[in-house]
Amino acid sequence: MNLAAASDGSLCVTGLDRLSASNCAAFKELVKPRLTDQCRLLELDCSTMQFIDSDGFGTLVNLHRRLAVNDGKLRLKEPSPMLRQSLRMLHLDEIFELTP
Amino acid sequence: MNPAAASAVNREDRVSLRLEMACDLSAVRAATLTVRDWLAKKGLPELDLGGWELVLAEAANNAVKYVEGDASQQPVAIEVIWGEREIEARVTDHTAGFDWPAEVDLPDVDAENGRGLFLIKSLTDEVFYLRHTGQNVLVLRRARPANLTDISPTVDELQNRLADAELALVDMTAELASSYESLVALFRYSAELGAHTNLKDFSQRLLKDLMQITEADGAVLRLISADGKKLEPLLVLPGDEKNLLPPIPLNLETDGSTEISAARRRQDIWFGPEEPLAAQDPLRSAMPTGNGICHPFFVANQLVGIATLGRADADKPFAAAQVNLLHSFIDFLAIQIINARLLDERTVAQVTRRELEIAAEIQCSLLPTKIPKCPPFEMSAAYQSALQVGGDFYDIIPAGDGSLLLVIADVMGKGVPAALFAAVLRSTLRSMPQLFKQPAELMATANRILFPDLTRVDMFVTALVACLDPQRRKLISANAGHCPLLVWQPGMAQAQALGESSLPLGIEPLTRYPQTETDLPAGAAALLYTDGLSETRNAAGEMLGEEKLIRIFTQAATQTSDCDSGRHFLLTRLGDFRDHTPMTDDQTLIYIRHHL
Repeated sequence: MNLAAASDGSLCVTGLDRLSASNCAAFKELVKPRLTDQCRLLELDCSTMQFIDSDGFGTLVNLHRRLAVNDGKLRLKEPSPMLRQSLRMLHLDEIFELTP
Repeated sequence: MNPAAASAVNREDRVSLRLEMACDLSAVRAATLTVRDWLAKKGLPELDLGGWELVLAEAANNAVKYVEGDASQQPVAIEVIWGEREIEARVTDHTAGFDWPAEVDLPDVDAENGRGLFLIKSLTDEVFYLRHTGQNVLVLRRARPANLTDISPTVDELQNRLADAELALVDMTAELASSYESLVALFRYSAELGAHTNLKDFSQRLLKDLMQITEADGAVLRLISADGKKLEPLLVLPGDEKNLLPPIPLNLETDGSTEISAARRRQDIWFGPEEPLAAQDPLRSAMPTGNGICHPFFVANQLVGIATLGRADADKPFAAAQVNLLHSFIDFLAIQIINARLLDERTVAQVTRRELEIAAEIQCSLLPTKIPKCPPFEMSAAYQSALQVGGDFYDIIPAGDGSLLLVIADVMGKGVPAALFAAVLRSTLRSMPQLFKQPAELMATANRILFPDLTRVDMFVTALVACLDPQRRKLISANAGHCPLLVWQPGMAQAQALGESSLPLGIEPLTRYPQTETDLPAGAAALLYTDGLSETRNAAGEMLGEEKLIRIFTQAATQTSDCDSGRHFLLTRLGDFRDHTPMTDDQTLIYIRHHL
């Protein structure tokens, strides 16, 4: 997994293949300190993401809430059809930004 | 080996795919990928694969996250069955379990938790959560996509499918054989429900069948005692060594008996190598206890009994399916036990009713069919039976010189015994005509004769014996603890209760009875009665009492002129007082009137 910060303060996470009960705590510990007040966007590249479970979705909601304090947002880039289906089912597509 | 692992091993040859994972979150990924790959080989579309992967991950995560203590040492089992129309997965956990909610709502979009059950529910067609002691099974079902048959399988896939089908066939055959055996037994028992079957025979057959089907080596059945205070052994199998098992008081220290613990906790208790029976547990002497389960059973929330199955093999605990069979069989047994109890109660009620009928027949046969004439006196008598037949009777016997012996008595007791003693008293008195004109001596002699028998059965008799002498216009009486003789003579404002009473018959063997002579001049009236008259009660529970009875008798004597009218007046007024309240005791009277 890579975590890169852009000059505008946004963060981009790439290379993550799963976000589940077994690794979401570690993921949150890694990302959360980087969500400064200047950070308006956290982009998670889902092109390599094979699996997210309910703990993973909970972690994304947690990060989204942290971003929303400063009008920031969470963007999921290229989610798989399965991930899109799950997001729709959980109505999370209403709060996360999905890009093709 | 724990129950869950054994259950999985027992079913190993019956599932299409079975795996066990360590009870650790890091093991979930590999397990769900194994299932996913297996389903992918069968041609399941990507979205379905993703759905099953997510559902199984949620189930396995819960099995790991909510386990407590040593149960985390036990693996989580996942079984997947590729059915003709649907896919079924079973996830066995060792948590304390929980009640699957009737409705699973989606949490607020901002909530960070609570989506797991919603995903499981949304991505499956059917969900069951079966709770057992020590293990729980989450059963998940979802229909197979309809277009799967369009996929052209490779030779390898066909061979794999054939192998799976053969395994499934073996699985189904074994399950069918087991189910057939169980169903036949259950149908047989259902046909017997309500029949007049001997409970012990029924229980013995049921437990033997259950032992065979569940591969148990022993069984113990205890039922709650009639007073509800202890568990009494009904059956011990295979040999009925019931004598080795004494009744256990329900208030026994629970450390001493697994059966009592199960009854108190109202849930199954497993025992085996990990939780052995206490050294003093009565089950130890009764059955193989390498492994076993104590199952308390209830009807209408009341404890009915405890059924225990045991196996000698410590490495072979009962599987969840076998425990389900235990529950089903014992449910039948509980119904039969309740039926047997109701049958017993009905039989007792029938016997009691028949006994009362017999007693009533005896009692009626004792009463005079015709009242002898005794001018210038006339008499009228009445006997009204309460619901429970008592021991009242009266008799009127010619004494040979125109006088009559009048007897009114009340045997203390109900039913046939009281009626029989009334018959004995009647015969005893009738056998002594030489004493008819000496009522006190007659009573004393009758007491001496009857005393041994009455004492033996702890009964006694109150009686009033009187000789009505038409020549002397007198009534000569003796009273053995009975209601007093009431007499009204013309000119009296109120009738009087006359005569000194002594002990009832059957109390002391040598009792002496005072004798009283009472004038019955023209117009006079007398009443011999039993306490059913003076103790008449109304709806408010108030008792009439002797004083009011005397008033009513006085009115009868002054307001009527013949004995039939007087008797009718008395009974009508008693009925008015009772006001349709059922009689609680027999009412018997002899009304005497001296014609003007």
